[in-house]
Amino acid sequence: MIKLDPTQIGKEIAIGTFPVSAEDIRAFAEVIGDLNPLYLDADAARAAGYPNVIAPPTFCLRLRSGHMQPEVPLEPGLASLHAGQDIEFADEIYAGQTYTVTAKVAEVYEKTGRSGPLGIIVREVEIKDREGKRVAVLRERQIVRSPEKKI
Amino acid sequence: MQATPKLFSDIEIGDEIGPVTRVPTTEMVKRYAEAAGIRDLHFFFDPEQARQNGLERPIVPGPLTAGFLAQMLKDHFVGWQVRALQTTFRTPARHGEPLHLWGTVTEKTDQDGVPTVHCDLVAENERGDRVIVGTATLSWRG
Repeated sequence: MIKLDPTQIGKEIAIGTFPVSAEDIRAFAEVIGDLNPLYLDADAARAAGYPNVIAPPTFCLRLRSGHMQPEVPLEPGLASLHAGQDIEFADEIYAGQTYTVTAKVAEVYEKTGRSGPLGIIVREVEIKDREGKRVAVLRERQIVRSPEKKI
Repeated sequence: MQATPKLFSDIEIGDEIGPVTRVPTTEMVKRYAEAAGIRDLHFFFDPEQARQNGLERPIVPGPLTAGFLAQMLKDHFVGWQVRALQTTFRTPARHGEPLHLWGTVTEKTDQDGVPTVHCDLVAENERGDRVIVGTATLSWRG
């Protein structure tokens, strides 16, 4: 079995506060090849009823800085992989807004999968705007496994 | 210009979304890793690092493929907001391999007066493996 340390569960950490510019959104949209005018053209966004350009839904992953935080200590030699994510949006992410991101480990558990014993770490990331209003919540699942069986 | 909004009355359970084909190249993966702040996860582009991490080869980040699905939804449901996007990464996607994406409308509801649709989502590789399965919820914003 893969043993995971449960003591990190529930401890919230600050990931940071991030201003989002129209250029940030444009750069991200261009990288993923999503050239929706709502992401690139403020006039198009306003015509659709938004105050400014909005970000593609998965832009919120950029705000959590890419890293799986808070870290859960792993035994040496184990491999980990992002297994999925659930995102709930209360609002769009806008250019010109500033977002505060916090994260915590919500769950850790062990199970046996097709490739053998697995550890699962679930993190919950909350994104709020400068008024403190919740904009999005991400629940990300990280799988921890032996690297011997290649996938 | 945005396309014409898709009206709630024009949506039926069973409607197909897509299909769309996307090819995540190594260059795209590198640029995504930079943009998403995961450039230090070398197994996305370094074969040796990938093997050490239990992978046969460098893979495409799951959130990049999830982003393709989100794009498909936004292009299909003009005038709607994505309220929930749930994705499970079942099989790693390979660099340069086409991914076929599609979805199906599974439910239409009225949530507190707001027209809402629910969808199933799939991203599949050329070998018929499901890379991502997921669901989405969108609400009408007009």
